[in-house]
Amino acid sequence: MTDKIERTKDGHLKKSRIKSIVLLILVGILSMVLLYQFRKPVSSRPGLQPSGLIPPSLEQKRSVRLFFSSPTEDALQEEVREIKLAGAIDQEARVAVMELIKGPRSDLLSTLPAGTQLRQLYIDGRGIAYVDFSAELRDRHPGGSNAELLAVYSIVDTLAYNFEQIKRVQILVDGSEIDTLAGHVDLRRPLKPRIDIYGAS
Amino acid sequence: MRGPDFKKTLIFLFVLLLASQSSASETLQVLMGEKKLGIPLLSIAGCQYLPLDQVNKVTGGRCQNLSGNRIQVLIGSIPFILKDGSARVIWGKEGKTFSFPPLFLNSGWAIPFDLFSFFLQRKFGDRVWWDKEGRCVRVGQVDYSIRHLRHGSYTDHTRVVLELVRPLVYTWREEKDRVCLRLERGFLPPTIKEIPVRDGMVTGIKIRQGPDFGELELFGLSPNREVKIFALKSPDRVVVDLYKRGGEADKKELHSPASEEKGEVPAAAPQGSKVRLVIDPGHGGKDSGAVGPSGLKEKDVVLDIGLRLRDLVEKTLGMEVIMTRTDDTFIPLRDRATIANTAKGDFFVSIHANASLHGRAEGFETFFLSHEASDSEARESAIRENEVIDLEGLNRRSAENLKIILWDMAQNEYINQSSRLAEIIQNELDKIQKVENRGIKTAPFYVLMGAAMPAVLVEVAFINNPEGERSLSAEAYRQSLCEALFQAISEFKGYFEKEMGMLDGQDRADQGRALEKVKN
Repeated sequence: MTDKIERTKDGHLKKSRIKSIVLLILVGILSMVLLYQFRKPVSSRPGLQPSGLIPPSLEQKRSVRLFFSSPTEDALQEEVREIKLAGAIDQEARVAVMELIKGPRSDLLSTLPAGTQLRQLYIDGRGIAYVDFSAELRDRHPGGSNAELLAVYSIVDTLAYNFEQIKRVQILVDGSEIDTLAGHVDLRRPLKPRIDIYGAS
Repeated sequence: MRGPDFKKTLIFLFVLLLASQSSASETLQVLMGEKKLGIPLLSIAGCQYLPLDQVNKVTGGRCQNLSGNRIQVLIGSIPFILKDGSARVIWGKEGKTFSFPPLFLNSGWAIPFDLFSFFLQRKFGDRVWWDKEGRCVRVGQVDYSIRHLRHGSYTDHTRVVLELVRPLVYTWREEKDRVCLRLERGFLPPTIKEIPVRDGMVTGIKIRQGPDFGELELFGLSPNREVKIFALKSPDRVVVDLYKRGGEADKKELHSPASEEKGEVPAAAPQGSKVRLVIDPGHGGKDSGAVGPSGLKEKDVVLDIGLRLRDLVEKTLGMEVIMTRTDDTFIPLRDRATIANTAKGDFFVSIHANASLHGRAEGFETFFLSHEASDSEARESAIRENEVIDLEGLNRRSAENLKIILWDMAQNEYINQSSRLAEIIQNELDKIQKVENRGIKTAPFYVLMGAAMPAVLVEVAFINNPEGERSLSAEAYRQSLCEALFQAISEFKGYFEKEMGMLDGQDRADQGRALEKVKN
């Protein structure tokens, strides 16, 4: 009986296990910080209560690796960013794409045209993520196969490398399938992530 | 995490991702003389992989692990260096990029199908045949003494040439409407197929393999004919010339056969079966493509290069050139492959100018189709769009399966040839360019997807950096790019014509017949 539950709820169990591990680590870090603080003279910390270790303001977060263009090479480079843990994968994937649209905080370059908006994102049972963008993604793209490859694979790789449920990514514009963004990369079908767009090997 | 660490992690993740999809389902039969070996095919991410240890049993390769996730495979005396996750294989000072990287899996190393095919050719040279009908690979021992069959229809005569591996004794007999040529100890490779000629002189050519001879039958001959059969050297070949009696034939008799044959480049494409090049200048009309900082448009630059290239190729190489556009009109991508396929092009070159995000990139690169084209979905639609295969009489399910197998095989062959063409183009451009050679790459480009022929997309330069734009606006520079492309096409044409005979080139259009045999 327990076996059965284990199997059917595999995904959830795993998720909650990850959650509890994250929680444990957080608790560990916090308690170490507190221990360190305790060594200081108690008089300087009059209000501290030893119980209730996790303040409600501490949100659960996960880091995602966003893929942007290298500033010097025609290759993707990652930037790690924290996003809120939402529980639902499609919600987290949506946030990751919105962060990708916002652009990099480091010296990396944005791969998606300014003004692009995420309209919708959903994941089907086969692990295909459908990502629907506003028309700016296509209409404001500067052209050129390199710029196009970087735009397409920054989206595909950001989704596929951060969410193991996502195997392939289909890019849509205004809710419809499109041929290409700028005349090169075939977007009629879902794409797999690529490992060879990260500079020459 | 940067550099190799980062990459390693990515590859690891990628492999993890793939591991769930990989499965050992099919087996590839390899026939080595009498010996038969089954190699399990692993389907990983839509690409067919083979376990390296099994491949070594065929090629006699010996492995040695190297540092940095690399392995050395010694085939003959050549050490090939494979790197886990890198599609580039290196030996000595040479290297070649394959469609997918070799992978180090739990079970050991696995190599992609095209690398296997490459290893076979390195090891066995000409002695490798893809037997479509038997769905197997034949290598080594079998000694095919006949290499290639070709024919050409000229205004006044038809010539059939049988290229041999070595001189063979031949005899022939002439009947009312046919000529039979028999070659003692002549063994026909499976790549030689029956050919329909239908040029008014000959209806077709049949072949027959006897126990210790090979036979060629030219049937449906016009009664009003004169037959000349003679042997020539380097390469060894037997030539059958059929002249129309009277008229032109009398004049032709003044020429000695040898001098006439001398004028012919080996395997030159005669009139009527010219090699056809499809030139596809990118973008056009409402689609400007990339635009330079001072407004130079990709569509105009690549049209100019394309037209110059057409003139040069037509004038100098005697090839037939098909253009997807000759003026500033918008041609949808889907129509470009259709134009190429309808014209029965032999190979396809799409010309583009690149743009980078940071506007400083320089250099040139050539793309060919990645293996994603043989993804099930992409494959199905490619088959639908091309309908290369006639499948009358087969039930739907087996028809679908056979379509897929044949499409895969054709694609594998196209991918090999495309990668070769891409390499030649890069080499030629490298000779005239001062900017960076960015190498050959694969990408799922729409325009390459539907073409039922070797196809590449060349990015001749970056238009969106000021220097590149300035160069591209100069006529002399565009002419030099065009000449480099011309050199590459000239070289590939030679390779292509040779390959047509060695592998399955010319029966591409005849896959229906191959199926006919599978059916029976």
